[in-house]
Amino acid sequence: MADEEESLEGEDIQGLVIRGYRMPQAAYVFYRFHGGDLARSWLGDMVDPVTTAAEWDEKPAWCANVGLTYAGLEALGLPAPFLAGFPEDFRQGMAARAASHLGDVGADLPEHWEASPPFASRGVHAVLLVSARTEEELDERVAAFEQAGVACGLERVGYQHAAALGADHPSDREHFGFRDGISQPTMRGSGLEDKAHADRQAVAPGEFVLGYPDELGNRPMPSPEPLGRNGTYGVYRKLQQHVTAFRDYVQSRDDGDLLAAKLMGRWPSGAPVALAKDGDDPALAADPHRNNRFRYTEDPLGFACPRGAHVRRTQPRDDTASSRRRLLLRRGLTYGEELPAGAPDDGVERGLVGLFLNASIERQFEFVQRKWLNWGQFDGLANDPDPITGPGGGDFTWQRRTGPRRYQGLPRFVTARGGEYFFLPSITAMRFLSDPSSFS
Amino acid sequence: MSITAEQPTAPTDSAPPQGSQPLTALTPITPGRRAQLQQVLAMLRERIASGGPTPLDEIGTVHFARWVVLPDDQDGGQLLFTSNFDGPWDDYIEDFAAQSAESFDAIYSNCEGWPERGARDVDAFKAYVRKHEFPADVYYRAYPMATVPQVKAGLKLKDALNTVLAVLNE
Repeated sequence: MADEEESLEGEDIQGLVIRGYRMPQAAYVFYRFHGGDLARSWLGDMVDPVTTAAEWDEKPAWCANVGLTYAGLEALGLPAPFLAGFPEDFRQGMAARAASHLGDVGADLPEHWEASPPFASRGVHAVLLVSARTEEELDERVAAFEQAGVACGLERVGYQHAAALGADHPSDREHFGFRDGISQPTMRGSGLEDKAHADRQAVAPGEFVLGYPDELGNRPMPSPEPLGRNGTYGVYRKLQQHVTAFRDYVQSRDDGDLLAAKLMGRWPSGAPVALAKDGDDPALAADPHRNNRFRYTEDPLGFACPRGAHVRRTQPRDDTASSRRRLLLRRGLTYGEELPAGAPDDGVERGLVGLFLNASIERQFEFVQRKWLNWGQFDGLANDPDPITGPGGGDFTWQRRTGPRRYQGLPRFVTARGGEYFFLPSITAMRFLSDPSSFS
Repeated sequence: MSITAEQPTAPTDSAPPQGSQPLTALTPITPGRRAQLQQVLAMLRERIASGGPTPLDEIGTVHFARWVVLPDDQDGGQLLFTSNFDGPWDDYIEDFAAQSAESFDAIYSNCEGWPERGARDVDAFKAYVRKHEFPADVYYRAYPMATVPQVKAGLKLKDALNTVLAVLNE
């Protein structure tokens, strides 16, 4: 409810908060600090190389960004009064809240997560996210940063490589074959609300960047202002995809392709099922002015797009202030080798590295995960968690005029392998945190 | 004079409780403002009685909500609010702030201590509710796990089945 449009201070905000870099290679390097002084000097050294959201004349060869966990802020020596200004969700971290606040069950729970990075034991202090255009450039950059990190006593405790599928022609498809990233909210004041993004929901910037008014005109952020303003929270979550399980399930059924589209809510091409309910529409998919411009108001019962479909339940598109406060900026990328169509299970791990940006982890990420994705009784359904990302064992109801079709006991297609809540500080905050005189 | 709970309702930082939840809050009416408060409540009463959609309907998780003026022998008293809703307390308050802020402000601007920026100041709104909330010593539910959408859908289904039966028996 801002009276004047405040424009975002791009030079102070980390780049990936405002724009997706669209680079096909990324590395998430996870660190543990040893010694507050050394860690602070590392953070100070990162101020220059970190990519900001200032306008580019041309895209750089690589981008780098930094995130800190609550444990990391403690290890940096941030005094208790400043730590107390951070919200409870960030303070506790994902592992402690997976069952209670994400609604995760079974194999998604921290006791089953990968040992490295040590998220389950809150052993990660910082993440360095490097994006690049080629794997060679990526490796070179990561090695250079590694040297600087080690010199400051940083201990690498985990590493995750991610790369767009399609080695020679990087695509925007994920491992189940669906085009991803079509729908992203746009922040008012980001400069991206006009032009080609007219179809996207324009949202108050405070829903994603701390220190700006949110949809209700509030500006909650950790104090003092140099620490909180222009920062945000990033939820990192590694999602393994069981590709042969998905393909086998879908192909073993009548109308397998149509079923897959109904589960997702979009065709693999990206065409929304809400507008293409019986068959794919590649022209619609390819048209950026139409492929994301639709509501579900004419389809309350789910006859076009099933009410439990993945994209429908993650974004209600009802244009209420309440729904505009449950959006996420997605900055993920696939990981693992592509499995060719028809190939048997090769035992290789593959999936999606998710990075979800929001101003309130509890109100945005946790709510969507718990109440919209994992909840079997979402929207009056009986036992229907999200068919794509859910824990399996539930049902999928395909509403039709002639009576619903119910698929029971869906297999699990996605498993969480680890995750954590990070604070992505502004450039000012990075300086603040690296300068011990800030704390007196 | 303000009446507050002996044991405050615990903040929900542990696992959310199951099924529908109660909320009971007692707020002191600003002396001299009771008449104005009663006017605002009368308008809300008429809106509900006329069957038109109210912000409470739009939230979709409210089973029941009740405002009761407990007058003192002067021009003030207490305003009692009781409600039954689905889902965690935080989400409930968040929805009120996003969807029904004006209605809440119209009512609670007549009570002492209401946040300056009203219901939209979510943190202050939550703090206000917590300060004036009383945990239920006993909470009885005839259908603990039924949500508002399930109850509505169930009733609709029953009507539809009755129609089918009527047709079949013609």
